[in-house]
Amino acid sequence: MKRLPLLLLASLLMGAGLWFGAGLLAPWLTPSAGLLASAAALLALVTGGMLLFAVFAALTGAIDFRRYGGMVLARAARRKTPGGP
Amino acid sequence: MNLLKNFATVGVATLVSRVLGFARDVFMATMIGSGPIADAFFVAFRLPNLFRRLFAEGAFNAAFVPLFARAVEEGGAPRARAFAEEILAALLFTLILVTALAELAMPVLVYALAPGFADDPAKFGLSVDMTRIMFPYLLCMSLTAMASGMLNSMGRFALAGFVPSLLNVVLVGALAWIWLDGTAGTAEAAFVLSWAVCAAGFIQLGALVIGLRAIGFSLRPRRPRMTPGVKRLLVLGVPGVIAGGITQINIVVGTIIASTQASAVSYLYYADRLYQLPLGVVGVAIGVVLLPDITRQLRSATPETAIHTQNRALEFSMALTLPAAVALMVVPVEVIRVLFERGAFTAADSAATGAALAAYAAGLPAFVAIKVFQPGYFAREDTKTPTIHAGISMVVNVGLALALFPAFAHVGIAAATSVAPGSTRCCSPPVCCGAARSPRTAC
Repeated sequence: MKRLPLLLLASLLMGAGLWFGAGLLAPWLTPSAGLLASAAALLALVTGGMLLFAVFAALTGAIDFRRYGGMVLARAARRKTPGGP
Repeated sequence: MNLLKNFATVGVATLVSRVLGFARDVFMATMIGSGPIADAFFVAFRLPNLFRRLFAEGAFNAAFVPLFARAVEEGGAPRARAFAEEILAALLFTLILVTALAELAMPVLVYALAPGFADDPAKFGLSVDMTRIMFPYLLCMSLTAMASGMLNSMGRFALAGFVPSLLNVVLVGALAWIWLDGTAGTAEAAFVLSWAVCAAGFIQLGALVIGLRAIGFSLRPRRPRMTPGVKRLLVLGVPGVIAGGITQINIVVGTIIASTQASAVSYLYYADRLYQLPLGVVGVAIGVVLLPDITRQLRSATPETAIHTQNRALEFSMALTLPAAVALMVVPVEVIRVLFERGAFTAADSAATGAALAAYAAGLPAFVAIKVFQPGYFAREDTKTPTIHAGISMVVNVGLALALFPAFAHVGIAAATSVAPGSTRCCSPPVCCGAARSPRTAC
């Protein structure tokens, strides 16, 4: 479980990004900007956060995307073998 | 085990339910806001939900699912059906009794849950009336939990996953009706919602009964009897009631204290709804899918395989939970403003709700971790350890909530709810992996 601190680090870096992003988008993140604009701004903030987290997680090694891809393939292969876990 | 696919089914179903739940809460904020009527409604809504989480979902996930899964494994469909019919008879009998008693003693129950309302007889009376209307929802939900547990054990996650959405569909319909009727913000609106909750319960139950019939699994009513199966369920279920309901008990303690401050119940309700989004998608989905999986693996495969599944699940759920928790702590007010701030929901409400949300979010990872570990105990039919954890967490929660409420109002209650589950980890680190059967630990 060495990945947990890395996941936390990636999350905190993402949090910093969100904080700046919320500052930039502040004019649109209020009800007076209208429902469409504020919803779009929130969506942009959330999507940006997710992308940032993915990038930081890959950079810190918190999530090994190649390994997860390999795991999915391995699972698919194992399912064909009777008696596999 | 096909963890990813099952996780995806339950995750998607939960996500749909939450998105609909959002539509409902966004609508609800506009229609009833956070005034005294909203406070009364949320307390009334809390009561059947509390019993549902404690007895129906808590006890059933803890005790019924493992026993039923074993009956399927060992005796096939006929044995499983006999066991389910025994349980159904006993459960139905108990539920009707509990509902009848609760309807009669409702003022006492509401007083117990919201002593702060006693100062305002109008608010208190509204709450009692609405709880009476909504209480039969508990009966439907308990039977729904049982039917869902059966479907999940037989590897059918989809229907059981989508049924909770029906409540939100019905409530959104009722809110639309309130909107068209122009009764927003009145007590009448809250009563329409109460009746809608009650109706939704019967619709949800009906859908699952049809689903069970469709796979040729219909149960006949029997006379309630104290059979060995019922006894086993009680032995396993009673501690599970407490353990499975950690957060519920903690939230109830919060409600009791919050009822003394105007609008606090409403703020905590809205904050809790947002906090439940990541919790629902990650924590609950993995708990529901993990439980039958680990149960099977402990019986048929090596403990190492089960531990491995649990570790994967922890890593996977933390990769989703940690960023969600950080995000909700960094930009809570922004999220609340966009979602709820219109109609009866003001900017001051956003600020108050956002502060509570940040405090709740801090406890998210610990709570999800508990959701990942709990099935391991339940699958081993060890309900004692989670119960001890629940006890510790309750004491910490009550103490902190009482200590923080005077200074931080409703935010103090949210913070106490967050710290409580994590405290059980600190008090008992070695058992966190249920390592009794395995030399390898998860942390």
